[in-house]
Amino acid sequence: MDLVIILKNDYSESRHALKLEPFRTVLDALEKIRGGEMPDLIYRHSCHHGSCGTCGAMVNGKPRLMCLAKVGDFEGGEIVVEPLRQAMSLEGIAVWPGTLFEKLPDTSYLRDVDEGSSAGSLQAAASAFLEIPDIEKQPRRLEDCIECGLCLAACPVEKDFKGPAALAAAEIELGKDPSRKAEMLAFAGKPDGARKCERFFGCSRVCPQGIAPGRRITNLLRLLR
Amino acid sequence: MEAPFAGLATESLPLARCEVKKKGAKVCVIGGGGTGAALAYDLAQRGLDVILLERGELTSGTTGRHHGQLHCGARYAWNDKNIARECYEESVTLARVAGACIEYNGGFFVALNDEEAGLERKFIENCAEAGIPSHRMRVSDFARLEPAVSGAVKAAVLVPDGSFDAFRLPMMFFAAALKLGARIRPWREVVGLEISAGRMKAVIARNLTRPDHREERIEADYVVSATGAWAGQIARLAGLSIPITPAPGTMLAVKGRLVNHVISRLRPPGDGDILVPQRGLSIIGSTQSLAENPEAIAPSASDIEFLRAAGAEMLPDFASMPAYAAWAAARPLAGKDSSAAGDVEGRSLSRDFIVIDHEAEHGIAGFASVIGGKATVLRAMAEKAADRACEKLGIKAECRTSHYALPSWREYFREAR
Repeated sequence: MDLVIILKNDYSESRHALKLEPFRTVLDALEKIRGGEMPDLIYRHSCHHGSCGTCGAMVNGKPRLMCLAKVGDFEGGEIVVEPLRQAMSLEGIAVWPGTLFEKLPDTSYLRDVDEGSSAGSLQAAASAFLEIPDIEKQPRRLEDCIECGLCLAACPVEKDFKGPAALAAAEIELGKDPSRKAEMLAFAGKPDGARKCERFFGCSRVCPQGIAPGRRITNLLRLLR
Repeated sequence: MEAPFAGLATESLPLARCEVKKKGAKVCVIGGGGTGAALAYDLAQRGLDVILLERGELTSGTTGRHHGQLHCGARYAWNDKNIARECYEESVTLARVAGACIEYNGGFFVALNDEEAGLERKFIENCAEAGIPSHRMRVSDFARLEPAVSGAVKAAVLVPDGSFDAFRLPMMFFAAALKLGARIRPWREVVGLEISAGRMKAVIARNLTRPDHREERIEADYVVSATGAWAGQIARLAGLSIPITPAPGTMLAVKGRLVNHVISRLRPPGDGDILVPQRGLSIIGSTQSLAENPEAIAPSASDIEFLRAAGAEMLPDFASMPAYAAWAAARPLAGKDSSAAGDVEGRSLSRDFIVIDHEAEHGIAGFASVIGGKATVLRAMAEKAADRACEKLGIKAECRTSHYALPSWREYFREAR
């Protein structure tokens, strides 16, 4: 399909006409522009499948992961791409994500796979045969949050707020590890914590992983009462 | 006190306890993928002054885009015992030092027909020869453990595979490098190598974060190109030609975690025969072809259709699940393009890695390239490359990267700026 990509930041704007199959993504479009007319264009990207969380950008004004935004979903084929809100803009579309990581608490990034306890005992029996100390006795998986910062970009509270990602991480951690409940509640109860939330729920709408930070913040507020 | 590293250690020390004695030599690493990350950490830990240059964001080349499989090596035990053994040792080491982003649940090689079932004994022997533990599981137990896998399974062999976060694991190495004083510089495009009297003097890089893209000159006693599929382009800046073949592969992810173990076909490696669970996704890979240029590699519609069908052979539900993402990346195979010899996919090229010493090979002192390899062996690649750098610089320093637990990737983004 025919596309027009408009790349915009605080001090520059450029238009790029190109052709791409509808199943390809906004990130593919930027790769094509960089491979051709704009070799010095910079933007963050890594996994290209919604797992690393680096390629967040404002796409037609909404925070999106560029690698999951299929160009076929944009009617008219005109797509405006800007650096992600609430992150420090570097150049081109690239941002420095430090603001997000400074807010995040130190939490474990693995969790037990919830379903099937019979699978659990089988896993323990099977892993014993391999005799490797670190192999899991219960199936474990990575946490859903990919720390992409889309929730922060969708949040109307711009100052002195830990933000949705950090508070959701705390809420997940206290559910997972009861021994850290008091610590996580103290984190969420700080002056820049859960009470600063304005209940806009933009975070939950844009989260590519369905983590629902808004609901988790509501839960924190209930626990803090 | 540190115990000397003997075989597969079972405990790791905190990085805060790592003492570094400065050696006064400066090394420039080109390439911010997994290999460069591990190399910057290794060299900094040995006391060298390290600066790493990466053209884009860290891990934006092949590294972040790979399948995410922590290879125990069983896949390669059919015909490449070296890389198989190395994968095993490195997978166990990574699970220990970087366990925070690894789903270390194991993997199954499954036979879906009589022909594959006939290979079971050979497969188990191969694993044993490469030192990889394996365990034949009763098919009925396997079916309870992984009910989504095809009912056609005739044999299932458990091996210590796993999956990892292809972005966060190398970022843990970057975090460690940073903590030990390495300077990590993304958005620097290397455009020149300054060589005089047969010796590398400096690297010239454009700073892409500045509107004027100002050139910076980085003097170094030693330069290592860890640029993977781009190694040919960096070598050309020094007027050299090296045997590197970019081999693109396509991967397809569906939304939904259908299994907890890596599921592979019990047969010699081919296309579309590995299914990796990762977080909430199920990822099938891969295809393989050869390319001249590793840039902007894209998945084709026919590759995606092939992978969907291949995934459904192992997991019937795969066919009906919505595609989440399809992408491609260029493997950096060490060796010359094999298509002239009739191998258009490059399957005859080894997955092992090599360190090319450009002094011995091409008469340019202070310069090396590390090419080939698998993501799982990033630490070992770095160890070999750092050994060579130290030897050339006359520095005595042991590799200690397998001794210490790596810090979180979050530390990198908290401290780098």
